[in-house]
Amino acid sequence: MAKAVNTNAAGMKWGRQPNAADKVGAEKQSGKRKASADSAWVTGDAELRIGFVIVGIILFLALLSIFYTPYDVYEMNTAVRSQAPSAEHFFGTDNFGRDVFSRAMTGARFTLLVSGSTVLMATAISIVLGLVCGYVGGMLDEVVMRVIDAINSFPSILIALVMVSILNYGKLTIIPALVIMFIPSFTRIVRTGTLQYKNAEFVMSNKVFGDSDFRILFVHILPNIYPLLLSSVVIGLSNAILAESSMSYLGLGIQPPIPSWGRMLKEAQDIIFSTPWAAIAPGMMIVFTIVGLNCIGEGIRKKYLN
Amino acid sequence: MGENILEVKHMTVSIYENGEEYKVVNRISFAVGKGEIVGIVGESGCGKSMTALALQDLLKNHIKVTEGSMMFDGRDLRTISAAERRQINGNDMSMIFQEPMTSLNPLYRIGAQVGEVLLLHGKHSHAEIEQRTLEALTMAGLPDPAKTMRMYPHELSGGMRQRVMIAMGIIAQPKLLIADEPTTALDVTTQAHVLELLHRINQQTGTAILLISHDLGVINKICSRVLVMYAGKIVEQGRTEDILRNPVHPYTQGLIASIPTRRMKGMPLASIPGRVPPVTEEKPPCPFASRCDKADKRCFTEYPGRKTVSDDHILWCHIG
Repeated sequence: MAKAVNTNAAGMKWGRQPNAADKVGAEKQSGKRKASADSAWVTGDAELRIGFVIVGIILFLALLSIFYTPYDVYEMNTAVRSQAPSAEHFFGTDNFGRDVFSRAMTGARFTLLVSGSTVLMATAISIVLGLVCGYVGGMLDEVVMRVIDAINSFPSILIALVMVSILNYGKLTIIPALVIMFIPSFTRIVRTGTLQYKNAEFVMSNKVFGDSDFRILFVHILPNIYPLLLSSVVIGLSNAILAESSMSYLGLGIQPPIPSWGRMLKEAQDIIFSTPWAAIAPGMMIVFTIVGLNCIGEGIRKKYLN
Repeated sequence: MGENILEVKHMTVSIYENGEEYKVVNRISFAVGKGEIVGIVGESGCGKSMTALALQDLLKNHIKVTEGSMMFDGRDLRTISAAERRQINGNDMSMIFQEPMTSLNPLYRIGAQVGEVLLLHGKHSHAEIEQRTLEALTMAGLPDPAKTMRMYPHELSGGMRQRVMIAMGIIAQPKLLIADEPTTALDVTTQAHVLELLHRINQQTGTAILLISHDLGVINKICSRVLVMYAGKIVEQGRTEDILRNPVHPYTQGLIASIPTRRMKGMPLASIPGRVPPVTEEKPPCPFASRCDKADKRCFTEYPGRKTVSDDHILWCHIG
C-alpha cells in the first residue's frame, strides 16, 4: 500500500517541476548555468531533451525519405562504386555504387516501421493481458503467466527465428515474430501495476459507486500505470530496433532489395575492408537511435517515477 | 421508525484459508430503518468492517457470505445480478472509507470524480451533473466548491478529501450510506465537523447511515441506535442512550468503562483484559467468556440466549 501511495504522489507531479526553475533564480549570481544543468540531469529533463533531438532528427530523415532522397535507393551506378564519403555522397557509396546516405534514410523508415508497429501491437496485447490477469487473478492469471514464463525461458531471438520459419516468408513476417518477444516483459509490467492498484481504496470506492469492471480497469487503473509502462515501451522500442536489425542481419527480416539497417550491415560485411563506411553508416544510425530512445525512456522514468 | 431500508438476517461471513473455514461474522441479524443512523461498535477484529464490506460486495475472493440474507429496499443483495448490483451501488447505497488520502484517484479532478457517480447512473446532461456536483460539494461543507471542483486530490487536506468522499457518497441521494470509520484518520476538530456533517445530511435528505466505529464517543454523538459487536457476533443492541447509560452486557460495560473521563483523573485507565480471540481460535459458546470477569460455567457450555431488557434493548448473555 505504501508503494501505491508513493507512485500516486509521483503521478501528481505530471509535467510540473518547479524546483529546477527556483534553483536557477536562487543561484543567479554564482554558477547559474551549472545549477540548471545539474537539476536538469536530476529531473530527467536533460535526457528527455537530448533524446527527443536525436530521435527527432532520425524520424525526420525517415519521413523525408518517402518524398525525397538525394539519390535513387535501388539504382546501381558502376561509375561511382565504393566511393569514400564526400560532399556528393555524405556516407559514401557501396560496392554497387548506391548512395549509402539515401539507403540509410530509407532503411530508417523500414526499421522504424517494423519496430514501431511491433512495440505498438505488443503493448496493446500486453495491456489487455496484464490488466485482466492482474485484476481477475486465480487460474487465468496462473495459466497466462506460466505461458509467458515459457516464452521468456527461450532465447528471444530463437523464438523469432522459429516464428519466421513457421509463418510464411512474407515481407512483414518479422512483425508478429517480434511481437511475441515483447509481450512477456510488457505484460509483467502492466500486471504488477494492476496488482498494486486493484486494492487501492479509490478503486474500492469506484466499485462502491457503481463503476463497471471495464471502466475501473481502463479509466481508473490504466492511466495510473502509464508512466511505468511508457518508459519500458520506449526502451522496448530500442530493443525492437536491435532485434529487427539482428533478424535482418541474419537474412530473416526485411527482404532485399528494400534496405533496412540490419540488411545494410549484412551486405556491408563482405566489403568491410574495402568500403568500411557502408557498414559504419547504418551502424551509427542504429547506435544513435538506441541512445536517443534510451535517453527518452530514462528521462520519463526519472521525471515521473520518483 | 416505520419500514426498514436494510434488514440483515443470520448473515455469516467466512474466510477460507488452507481448506479451513473461519467464521469472521457469525449469524448476525440487524436492521436499519429509513432515515435512521445506526452505529456498529467493537474492538478491532470484531467483524465490523467485514460486515460493511459484505454489504457492499467488496469481499476478497477467499472471503464469502455463506449464510443468511441481506434485504436492501425489498431485494436480497445476495441473489441479485452484478448489473443490478452496480445500479444499486452509488445510486441507492454508498460507502465512505476510512482512509481519505487514498480514496481518490490522483489523476482526475475532484469535479470529474464526484460527477462520475451521476454519469454512471441514469442519463444526466453535462450541465446538470456540474450543477449537482456543485450542490453536493457545497452540502459537504467545502468552503469554495467551484474552485475545489477544478482541483486535484493532492491539493486537498485529509479533512477536505473526506468531505469530497462524502459529497461522492451523497450526490445521488442514496437511501443508505455506509460509513466505515469515516473519522479515524482525521484529527479531533475535523472529526467533529465531519460527524456534524453526516448528521446534517441525515436530517436534510433522510439518508439512513450505518456508521462503523470503534469509538463510542463518535457513536454517541449522532447514532440513534447502536449494535455492539464482539468476535463476529452482536452481543448487545438498543437505543444509544440505553446502551451508554445502562449497559448490561459485560463487554459493553467494559467498553464504556475504558473511555477516559475527567472524573477519573489520576486513576489508572480501565481496560478489558486480554484481546479479541483470533478467528482461527476455537471459541466457547459465549465468545467473550474467556475475558469476562463475571463469566460462570454456563458461559463455557451453553449458547447465551436472547434477552430483552426493554422494548428495543436486546442482549445475548447469561449474566446480564
